[in-house]
Amino acid sequence: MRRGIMLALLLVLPLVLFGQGKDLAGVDPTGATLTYWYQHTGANGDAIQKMIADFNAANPWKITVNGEYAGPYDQIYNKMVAAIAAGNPPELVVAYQNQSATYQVNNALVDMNAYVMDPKWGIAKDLGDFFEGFIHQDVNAQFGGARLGFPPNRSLEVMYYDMTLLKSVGINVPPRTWTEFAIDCRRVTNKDKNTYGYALDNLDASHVYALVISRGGEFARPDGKGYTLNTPQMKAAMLYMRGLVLQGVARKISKKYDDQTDFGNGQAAFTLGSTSGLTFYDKAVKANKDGPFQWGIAPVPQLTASAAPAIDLYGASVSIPKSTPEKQLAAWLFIKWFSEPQQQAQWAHVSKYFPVRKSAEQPIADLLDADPNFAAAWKILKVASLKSEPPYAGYDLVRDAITAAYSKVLDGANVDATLAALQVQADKLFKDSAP
Amino acid sequence: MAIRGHASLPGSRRPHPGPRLTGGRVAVYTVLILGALVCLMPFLYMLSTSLKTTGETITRVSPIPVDPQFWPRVPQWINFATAWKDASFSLYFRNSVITAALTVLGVIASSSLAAYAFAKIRFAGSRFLFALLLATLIIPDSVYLIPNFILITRLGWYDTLAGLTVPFMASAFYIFLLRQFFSQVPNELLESARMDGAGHTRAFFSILLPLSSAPLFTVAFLAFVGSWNSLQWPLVATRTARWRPITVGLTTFISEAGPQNELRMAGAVLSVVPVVLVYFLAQKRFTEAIARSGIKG
Repeated sequence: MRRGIMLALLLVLPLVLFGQGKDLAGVDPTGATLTYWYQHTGANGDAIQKMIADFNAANPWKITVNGEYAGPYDQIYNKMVAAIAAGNPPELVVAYQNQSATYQVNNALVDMNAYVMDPKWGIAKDLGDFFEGFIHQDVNAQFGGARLGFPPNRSLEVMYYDMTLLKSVGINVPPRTWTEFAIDCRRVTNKDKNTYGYALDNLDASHVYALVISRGGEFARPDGKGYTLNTPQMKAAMLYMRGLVLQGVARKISKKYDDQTDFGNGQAAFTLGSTSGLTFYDKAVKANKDGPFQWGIAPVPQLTASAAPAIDLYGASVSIPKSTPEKQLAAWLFIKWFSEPQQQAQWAHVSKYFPVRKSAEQPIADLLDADPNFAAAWKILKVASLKSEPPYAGYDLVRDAITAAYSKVLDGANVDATLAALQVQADKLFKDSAP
Repeated sequence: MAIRGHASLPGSRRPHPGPRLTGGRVAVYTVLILGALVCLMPFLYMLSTSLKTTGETITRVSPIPVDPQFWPRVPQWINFATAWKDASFSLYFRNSVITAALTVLGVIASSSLAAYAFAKIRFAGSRFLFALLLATLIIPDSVYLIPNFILITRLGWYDTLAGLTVPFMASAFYIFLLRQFFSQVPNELLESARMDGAGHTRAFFSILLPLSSAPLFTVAFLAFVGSWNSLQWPLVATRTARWRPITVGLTTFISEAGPQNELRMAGAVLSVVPVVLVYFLAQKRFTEAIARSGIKG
């Protein structure tokens, strides 16, 4: 399905779009009307609508943004593919980095570097205030360093741990290394009590990425010219997890979010997951039949204990599809406004996503005080070495291949042969999807 | 003479003994009951999850209804009201009903006419055209997405009811289904009507359609369910909530962090009710049509 749609995008209708490249000094965004496709629902949906209304009321250029819920991410992607082909995309759209890269294969997006660095409209002087990993995530080496999006917020991959269970076997601090992690998993595993170490969600390539970067590896070449999946770090990560499964101290989770089930029931001592799931974990723990237990989050264990652990970033960005110079600038001004500390703090209070700017710490102080786990995650964010998965066009398909390879290895397949085949498959997908 | 199965003597009427319970019959019933239970499981899961708290949807999980974990501790009936309100179901429900009704009408009109032409009118290239029509069945739906979108955009139907319904008012499968049934209607019947002065229009409306209520119900039911359950196209073809259907409402309970399963399932229960009602209304004709069409599942 996704492959079909992507091929359709690549094959159907070369785009004839306009804009970009014009000197921004002479562009007047006054009176521009923009459409913004986003994925937010519920309280987040209400909050984003309110913020859009605030922007519309207060911006001095009388720019009007019309925010529209366009479905979950995958549906927005499908909608964008069709809209690009039809020549009527919105002026602002939420997109993961690999999705924006796919749009850019058809030259459909604006390179935002010009806006970020523009002396009049840009934020060059504020760049140091952004978390470095966040601000570089949308600079795509596959497209010569073009900035295809801008982060509105982010979340992190962390380790969730059940402190009550750990303490019951005499462990008082969560593990910092994979060696400690394996030892702790063995210690908490008890067949009579039906407790075990790690609820291993093997359905998500992001978890594999977290394991690989924690060992100093990467999924993408730094020059943006391909994948690096058949690596010693990848092999070590997969064999390590297979070992834990074989020992019975890690259990494979076959259904999405069932790791939260085992965690909430006090069976699994550890899970890996996004900080965006904090509220779900909280509810799961509170629903425990024996009453809530003590739990927390910590950095994903590393090969060796590190003060700056390598942590996987999550979160989509906002991209600007090509339209007119005036609308493109107006779209940037909305993004810029949203990235300001006050707006970032306002958004964090509702969404529980992390602000992308360090200076937002003061306006979210109450949030940090009220939620120790959110505060712990913020602390991790400030010291971590932030990494992100490849922003390549077609990475969705490679993610599926990584997940399949991971499952195979966990089930006993030869790791060398599996990774070699994975690399070949990824190379082909990279070539097929390249601009 | 005694009628088989009835008492032969006045005053000694006994209840109908029914079919004998042989070992084979017990085996068949057992398999059928097990099959029915398997089919019922997703509905029970949907119902039980819709009555749980968010925490219970994460921690109180079991695939077996006899396990207490399958059910909520205290049923959260409020979930239905919350789902209805949070997902703007009253608007989406109305939209789904209108969209499905129009789609069904369009499908019945276009498919029955085309099927009649293929089944009962001889014209040059009819077999080739029918084969061509059948060949379109192998094209995946996702391939139609972009061409259909470009078409409705150029027609000015983006974010309109027409954009949601017209592209689905013709279907090769429904034409095939009706054509198979129409072919079984004896030609003599239509020819005698023609000898009495009836043209194709009269023969179609006065003879063929009244004989075809079962397959028409089937096509209507399938078209209704297809329209009712569609999600991707309504999201692609609309930009506002004005004509969005109930399936879009269900997506609002899925966030980046995870799904609010209790509300999602409560919404699913609400959205499935009309489909079940339509099925029960059309059940007899539906099974009759499937039996007559020769289609096997």
